[in-house]
Amino acid sequence: MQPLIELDQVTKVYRGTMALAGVDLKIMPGVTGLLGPNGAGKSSLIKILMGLVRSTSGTGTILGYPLGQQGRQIRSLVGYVPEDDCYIPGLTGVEVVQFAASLSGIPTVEALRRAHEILDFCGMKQERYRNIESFSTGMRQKIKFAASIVHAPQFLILDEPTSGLDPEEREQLLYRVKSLAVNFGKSVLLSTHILPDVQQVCDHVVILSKGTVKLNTSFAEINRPSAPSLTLSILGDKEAFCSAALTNQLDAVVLQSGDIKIESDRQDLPKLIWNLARDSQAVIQSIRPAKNSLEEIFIAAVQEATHAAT
Amino acid sequence: MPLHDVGYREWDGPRVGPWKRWWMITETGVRITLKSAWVRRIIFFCWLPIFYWGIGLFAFEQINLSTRDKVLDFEQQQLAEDVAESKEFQKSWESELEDAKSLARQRVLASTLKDQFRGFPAIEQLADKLASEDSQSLRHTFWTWLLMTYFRYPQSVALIFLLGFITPSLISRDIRSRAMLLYFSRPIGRIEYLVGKFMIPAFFLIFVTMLPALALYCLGVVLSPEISIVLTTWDIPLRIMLATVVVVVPAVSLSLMLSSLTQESRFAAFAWFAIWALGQGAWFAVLISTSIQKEISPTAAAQLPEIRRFSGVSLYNNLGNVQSWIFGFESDSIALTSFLILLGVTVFSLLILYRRISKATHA
Repeated sequence: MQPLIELDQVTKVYRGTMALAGVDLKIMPGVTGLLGPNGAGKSSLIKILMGLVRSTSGTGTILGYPLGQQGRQIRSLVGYVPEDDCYIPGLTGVEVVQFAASLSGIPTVEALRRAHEILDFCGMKQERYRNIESFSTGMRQKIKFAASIVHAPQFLILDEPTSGLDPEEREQLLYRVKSLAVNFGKSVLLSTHILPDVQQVCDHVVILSKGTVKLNTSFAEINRPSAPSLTLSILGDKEAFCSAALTNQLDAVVLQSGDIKIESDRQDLPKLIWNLARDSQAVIQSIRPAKNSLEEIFIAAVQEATHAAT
Repeated sequence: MPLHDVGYREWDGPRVGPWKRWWMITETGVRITLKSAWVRRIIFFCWLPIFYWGIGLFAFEQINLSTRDKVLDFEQQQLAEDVAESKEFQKSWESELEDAKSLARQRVLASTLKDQFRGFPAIEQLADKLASEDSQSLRHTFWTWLLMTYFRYPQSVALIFLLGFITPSLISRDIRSRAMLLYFSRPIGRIEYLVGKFMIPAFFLIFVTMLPALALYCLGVVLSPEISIVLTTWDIPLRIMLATVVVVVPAVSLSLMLSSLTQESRFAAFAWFAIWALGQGAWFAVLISTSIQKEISPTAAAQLPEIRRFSGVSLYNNLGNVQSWIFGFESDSIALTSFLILLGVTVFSLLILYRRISKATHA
């Protein structure tokens, strides 16, 4: 299978500030989450992919087209939702989407028909006839999303698409993204700060920090712990339970959620846990196989980058 | 989640070529601009002068007819006597008499026009030219003069106001609303964006300058005694188009460049009006200082270079000089200087404009 995006040592320097420091990245078709703290280089990477800015060095391809050489061709196959609150002033909602379709080469009348169809898909009702300057941020987000898919792109790049949306709208937008991916085979690159968004729709995740790729893996891989481990929910003194576990040479930690994670490959682990609970006067509520949390992985990746920088 | 949803459908119809995409920007821009009632009012007022100029054209044809039939009798005889006495003309009396008649008619026509068209600007230029040209080109000369004055005076002022209302917001609003990201995430380039934006004010300028001027020319053809007049005036529509290009290119480039320099369209509008006002102010200062110099020391003033050489300080004068040259009423040297200034303004404006658009995309 041909990779969707393949980057080799891509760097971007803005007036002495390194935004991307030798990014090597391979993204396969599917829904990929692009995570990273502010200033990680996500927007710079997206702009380079879209051909809006040129990389300082490095090479790469997107949809098989070389970066920085066939920008028009790439942009005709890619739909892009920018992070910024941007709109074309003076037009109504439906006119913005029609205009976006026309700029992508769809004939005018067909562009209008298609704009209405897409706005129906995006759940935009009569408000589509209002001037876009009177729209709320959430409505503009919907219009941007509609404009990004109106020309039937193969690949969607969504930069913070759920910002400014209320929980219901957020849920609906993610459903649409998932639907486009599952039912129509669209590939999606979802750049966001909101980890649950990524967990909800993405198959792969890329974590970018300080201009470098810290993690590029699938969710199946993330969920698989590095060593056999269990997550326990207990009532009682958790610290006493952990101390007792340590004396029995078990690696036990209290998670932020309040649960306890125990890592061990011992065969008699369940029995040992029950004994520990009895000794520390705790009541076990649940025992389940442990999963790695995306949040923990994200924080660990960012902290690693921060420590490396200092 | 819905139980049934028509949802999303793919689209794989034929797409129009990239060459047509700038037109979408222009078409949309024109539609947005026309939503403003003020712009519609200004366009209406920009069309008004053409009716005054049309009356001028009609009056010319009337004067032309009346001088042919009536006025000539007396002048003809007087001039014929002059010619008869002249040693130079004695040999070919008959043909010279015809020339003399024609010359007399021209003089009468020139003086009548000068009298009747007192309200029109640059009437002296016309009178001088009519007196010095042969009778065959009278109508051509008058029409080009009429169109030159139309372009140079009412329409040049109209262009300042029209562009002052239309252009300042064209790019500044896109920068403020970050619309560049929406434009350039489509398969269009900066040049197409620039051409699309350029053609919005250009469309309105063509609508209020070239279109009425061509209508005036057609009116002239309809009013003239024979349709063959088209053969002797075929160049006038071309001059009209050329004069329109001279107006449109530098003025639109400059105004778009100002629009690209700020996010606030009112600042761009202020800068636009200030450039024209300061230019004219500088020109009036030159005129006044020369007059004072003449009053104080006539001998020293005589040594000053021709005052019109300084007309380039005003952008308005530069446009007028090149337009006058296109219609055959300006010397080559002055027109060349003005042309070079306009060319410089255009190139400078377009370079800045391109740079600003690139910067707005990267932001």
